[in-house]
Amino acid sequence: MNAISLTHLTKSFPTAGRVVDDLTLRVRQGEFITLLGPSGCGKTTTLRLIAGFEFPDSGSVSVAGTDVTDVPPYRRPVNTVFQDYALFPHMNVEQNVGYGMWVARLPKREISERVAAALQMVGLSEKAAARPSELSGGQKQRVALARAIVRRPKVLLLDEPLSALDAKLREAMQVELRHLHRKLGITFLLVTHDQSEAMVMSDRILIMEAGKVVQDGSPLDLYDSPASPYVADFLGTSNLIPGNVHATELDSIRVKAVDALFRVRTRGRSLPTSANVTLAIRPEKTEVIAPESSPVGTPAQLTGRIIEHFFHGGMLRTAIDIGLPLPFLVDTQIKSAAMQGQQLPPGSPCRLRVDEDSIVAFAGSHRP
Amino acid sequence: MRASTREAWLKSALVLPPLAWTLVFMFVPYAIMFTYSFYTRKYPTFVPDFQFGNYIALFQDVQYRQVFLRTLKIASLVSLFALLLSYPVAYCLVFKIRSLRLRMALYMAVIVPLWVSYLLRAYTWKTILGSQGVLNSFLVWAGILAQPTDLLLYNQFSMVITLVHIFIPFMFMPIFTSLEKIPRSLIEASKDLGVGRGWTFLKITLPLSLPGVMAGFTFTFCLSFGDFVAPFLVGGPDGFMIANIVQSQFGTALNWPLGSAISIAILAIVLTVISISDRFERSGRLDLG
Amino acid sequence: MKRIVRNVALAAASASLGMLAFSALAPAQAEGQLSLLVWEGYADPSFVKDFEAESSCKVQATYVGSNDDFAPKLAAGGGVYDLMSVSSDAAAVLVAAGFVEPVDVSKVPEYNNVYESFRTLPALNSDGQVWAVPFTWGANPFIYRTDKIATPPDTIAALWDPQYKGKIGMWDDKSMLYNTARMLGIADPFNMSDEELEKVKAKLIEQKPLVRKYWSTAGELENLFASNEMWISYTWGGLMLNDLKKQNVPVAEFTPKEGADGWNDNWMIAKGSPNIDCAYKYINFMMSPKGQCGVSTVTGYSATNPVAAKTCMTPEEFKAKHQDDISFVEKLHMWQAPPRIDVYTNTWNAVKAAP
Repeated sequence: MNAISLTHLTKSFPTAGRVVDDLTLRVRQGEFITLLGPSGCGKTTTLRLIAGFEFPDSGSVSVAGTDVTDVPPYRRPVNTVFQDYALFPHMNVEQNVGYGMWVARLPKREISERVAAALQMVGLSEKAAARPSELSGGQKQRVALARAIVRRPKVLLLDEPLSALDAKLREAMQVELRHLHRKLGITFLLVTHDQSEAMVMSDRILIMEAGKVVQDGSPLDLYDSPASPYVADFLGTSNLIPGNVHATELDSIRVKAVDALFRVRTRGRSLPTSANVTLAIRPEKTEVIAPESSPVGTPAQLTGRIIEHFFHGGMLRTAIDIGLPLPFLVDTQIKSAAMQGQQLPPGSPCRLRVDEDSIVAFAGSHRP
Repeated sequence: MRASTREAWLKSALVLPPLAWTLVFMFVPYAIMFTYSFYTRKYPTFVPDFQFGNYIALFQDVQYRQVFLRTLKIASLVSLFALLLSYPVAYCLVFKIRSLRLRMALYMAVIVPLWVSYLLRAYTWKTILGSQGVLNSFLVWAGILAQPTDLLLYNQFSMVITLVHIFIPFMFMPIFTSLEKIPRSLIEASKDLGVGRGWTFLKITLPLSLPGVMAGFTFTFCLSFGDFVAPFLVGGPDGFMIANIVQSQFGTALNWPLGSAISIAILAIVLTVISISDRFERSGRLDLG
Repeated sequence: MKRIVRNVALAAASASLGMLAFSALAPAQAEGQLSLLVWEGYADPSFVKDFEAESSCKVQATYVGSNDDFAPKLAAGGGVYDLMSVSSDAAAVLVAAGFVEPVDVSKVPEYNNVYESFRTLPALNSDGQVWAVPFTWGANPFIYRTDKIATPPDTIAALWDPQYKGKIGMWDDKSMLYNTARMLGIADPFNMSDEELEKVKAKLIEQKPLVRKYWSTAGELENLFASNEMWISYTWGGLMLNDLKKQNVPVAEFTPKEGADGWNDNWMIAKGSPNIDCAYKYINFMMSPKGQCGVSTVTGYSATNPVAAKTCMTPEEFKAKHQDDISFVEKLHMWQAPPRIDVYTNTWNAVKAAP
């Protein structure tokens, strides 16, 4: 039995057009799944269709084996953590968390026990009497979380829950959400546009574009084997370089790109000779080397000129002009202080050594 | 030092005009009125004095109590009916009309009577409610009445209807604003937590719109409490309101001291209503930001 | 935001109060622009045009709905009005309050042709000065819709008749106390004791459920009769009847057996008037045949200058308006100023305030 099952789900809005387009999706019980994509890709609408705030034009939604396509939100076994938290400003923390059970006239004792347990779980027991306006952003987030899990839903829906928090708090909450997921054992469906957030927390990521899922897989699968340049560029960073198939081999091809020749694995794709292709090259799979220190026997080399270095703490990002409209990016881990100051100065010519195993080739030429 | 002096000068230059305005058009008239309220009526006009006779008369003479109570009743009825009419309309506009353009068009339709002259609106009701008016003609034509009724015009009923029509934008606007300010996610959150439409309205929407309701009620109540034109135009022999007494004391009776004392009493009532609604709001002050 | 809402509410409420106090203020007058404070009909274009042509004074009129309107308007400050048409019973207040100038009768050639009984009224002559020039007089009869009331009523008590419930009109003025007192057989309606006033008040409160409206202007009363809201009412006489007949409203007047109210109106000059010359010109014009007959034609009231009236009225009109028989005036109950005017005003207000 699937926790969530969406079948040929379609939803249009008068002004935005078709936002969710024939979407079919199965989510296993206990999974942490993320819908990832830029704004307008239909991920939030998908979440709202599951929550019951919107109803589909066609297709069906079922939660925990029950068809809920036409069921109003207040009769669905799901709960939502809203992007703006949606805490009731005229109620204190305790009342916010207990609200649903209180209207349902559950026994007072049971309500207070469950509220106390939920608040303890998010570490906010001492704020039970505070008003939402007296809480910090992170605390509001925890109240929203407690309120959503107190009713023990079959599925917890999280709509960009961390987007309003600052970077440090966001990282801490990512860890906490991951722990909570493990502890509760319920299905989490997260909607976000933040790829690092998606990769840190999810068991499985669905990348959406224009109302459709363009790739579905574990974070590692998606990162290593993006199905399209769109995914390659959206998940992490990729240098997209146009090229041409020079020769085909058994499970690899020779691609001529810019001034270099690469040997790229085809990964099952059919890429005939002289076809136009786009190569996706990860910045961290490339190394900058001085032109004169070129070792013999490493054919896949690009040449260029250093534009600038950007210091990112543990990593250095270098922009290099290789004769394409966009600069080529290279990330270098800084392992010791000694490494600093050894880079080539901007303006100097350089060579790039690429780990050919990591290169992914896509058919056609794409504009990044 | 010099900069801070200039800044202080600038600040006072900014504050001065509104302060002067308030002083000249609010405090000075009230101070004059307050002073007059202790004067003594002496044929043919009145003389400066300091005595409380005018205020004592307000309590001793039964006619003032009668009119105060009647005015209170009319103002309460007007506010109540304006609320009962405004709230559902504002609610529908905010929550049921999805098209922003249509919503603004309907909002303007409710507000637009504000730009029609007060007198014209009152006269309109005269032609609707009169013995030979539109409504009577219709009721007779439809066979509901055998002959036109006099019960529609020149009584408290027609005053309440007219005042509701005239002041309803003042009720509608703050309610609309307060409903519009409620984030949709709060209502979705309530439903998400298993609460149906009815309870969601009672527990979330209604409490969060109360500031608007209080503001609207205060507006409508204070405006209709001080009205003196509706009794004159559409009121009957039992339509005399407190502002009419003020008018007659400043007019025909030439008793400005008594008129001033009544005005001060009205002011006290209006201020009481305002501070009660203010306190109400303060106690439930909400942070929707 | 909320605080602004509060302040606007307070400002709106106080503005409506403040307006009352300031409503008496009107723009000050320019010279040669004669500003009249008069009853309807006393500045009718039919004769004002002639006056403006021959005098080079411009006339601007403000209308009153009651004799009680004069003093408050003048109390708000001088320099606004030049000339007023005041009934004799309201003249003494203005003199006592110092709102008017004495009249120099040597500048009014027609003054000596005015009926002596008006000229010598005590209210118009005090401190050895003449304060007013009488120019018109009349009776205040009642009118009724002849299509709704078949038998002509003949008593004030008809205004208490339950069969006219909701169709009865009364003037919003303390003079309603006088004719109610007469109906109750009270000897001196202008000098009532507290008990008598209580009786009158009770009677008027008893009438309230039957009353459609306490009206206050001629236009309002005519509108009420024309739109079938009112069938029977106290009136100011000729003016209203004439207007209604012009609109083909079937009305007739009747003089009750208890007698009718009588009154006469006089020109008084406001203290500090910047247009004294124009004021005298208007008085003289109004006392001349053009003015005397001009007003009489518009209002149906009688003239106080029989010499002038004789030259411009037909013999029938002259007789119909009792110009040949001043003893008719003796039968009217001429308005007087009650010595206890405050009590009277308060009593009338109490009637209106009652539920």
